[in-house]
Amino acid sequence: MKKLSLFWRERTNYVCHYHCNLNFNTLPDLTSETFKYLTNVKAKKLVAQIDDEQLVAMLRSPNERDRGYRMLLEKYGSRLYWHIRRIVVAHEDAEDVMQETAINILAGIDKFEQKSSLSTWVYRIATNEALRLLRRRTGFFQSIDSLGEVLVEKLEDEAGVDADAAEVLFQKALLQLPTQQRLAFNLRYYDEMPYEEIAKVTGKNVNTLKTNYHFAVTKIKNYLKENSL
Amino acid sequence: MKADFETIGKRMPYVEPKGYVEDLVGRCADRAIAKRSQATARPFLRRVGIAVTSMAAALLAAAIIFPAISGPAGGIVTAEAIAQSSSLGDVLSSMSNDELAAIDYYSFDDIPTEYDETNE
Repeated sequence: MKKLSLFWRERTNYVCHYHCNLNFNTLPDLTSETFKYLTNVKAKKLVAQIDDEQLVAMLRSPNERDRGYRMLLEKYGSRLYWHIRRIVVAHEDAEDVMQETAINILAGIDKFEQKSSLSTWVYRIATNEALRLLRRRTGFFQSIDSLGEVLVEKLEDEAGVDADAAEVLFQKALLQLPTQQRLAFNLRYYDEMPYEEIAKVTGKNVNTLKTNYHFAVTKIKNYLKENSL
Repeated sequence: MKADFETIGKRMPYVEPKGYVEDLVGRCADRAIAKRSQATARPFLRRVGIAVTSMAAALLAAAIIFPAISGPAGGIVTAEAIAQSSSLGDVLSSMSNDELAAIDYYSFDDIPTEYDETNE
């Protein structure tokens, strides 16, 4: 009962601040439970529009670090989850990787030197954690590119019987690609990231990425043509 | 059904579990912040652990090595010690059981008092 009344007080306070268009910095300190129960779409959109520089400033401040961290996850959480899931396919694996990513983001905030944007930095952490999980699944002398068939099996389990056949086929075509080509394709096609930013995420050369993307598109088209329904 | 980039777009054949993304912030943030709190307490506990372990190892090593250097209880009984002693009883009481047993087995005539080349 006490927790519920706290939630309603916080929610009322938050909504009042939003509708009064007060300065964002005057928003009350919200608990995780309030974030959890917030159904106000406008409020969530407000969080999504936070400037990255403002977020970094909050993360560097000892008093506002936790709040800034929650807002960072609110802003990038969904995108990071889907980026990870496109790499590892299974939800359970994506959940583990997402948790590790969140821990590493919090642990590495002090070392973030702003040489790249905040989004590039969090994407890089998420990508490295996802690839680390795939490496754990391979043998000592095996490459993660050999996991194609395993990932296709996971795709069929995750998709279920009612899934759209064309979408499943498209994902199968993606999973046949070498990991670096698939990574470049995912970041370019799904996340619409510029090549310069993808280069910072993956650590590859821009020209290499353009080549990888071109080959990926060609291979996908050929696969779809050969296996068309 | 035609499968190509235009018809499929960015749709995925699977979805996230209901409510997962909404819960994502609370779940991940709470665990990460809790783990960070544990990590800050670890360095001090680690130092204490290392210090205690080092002291225990040092005591154990001293307990093993020191008696080996000093020899059997009461020290080695030498001929000079026997000669300087005022009472044979005092000398005998300071000898170990093994030494006393050796005296029983061997007569004094059999125990060489000095090195003799002819004994080889």
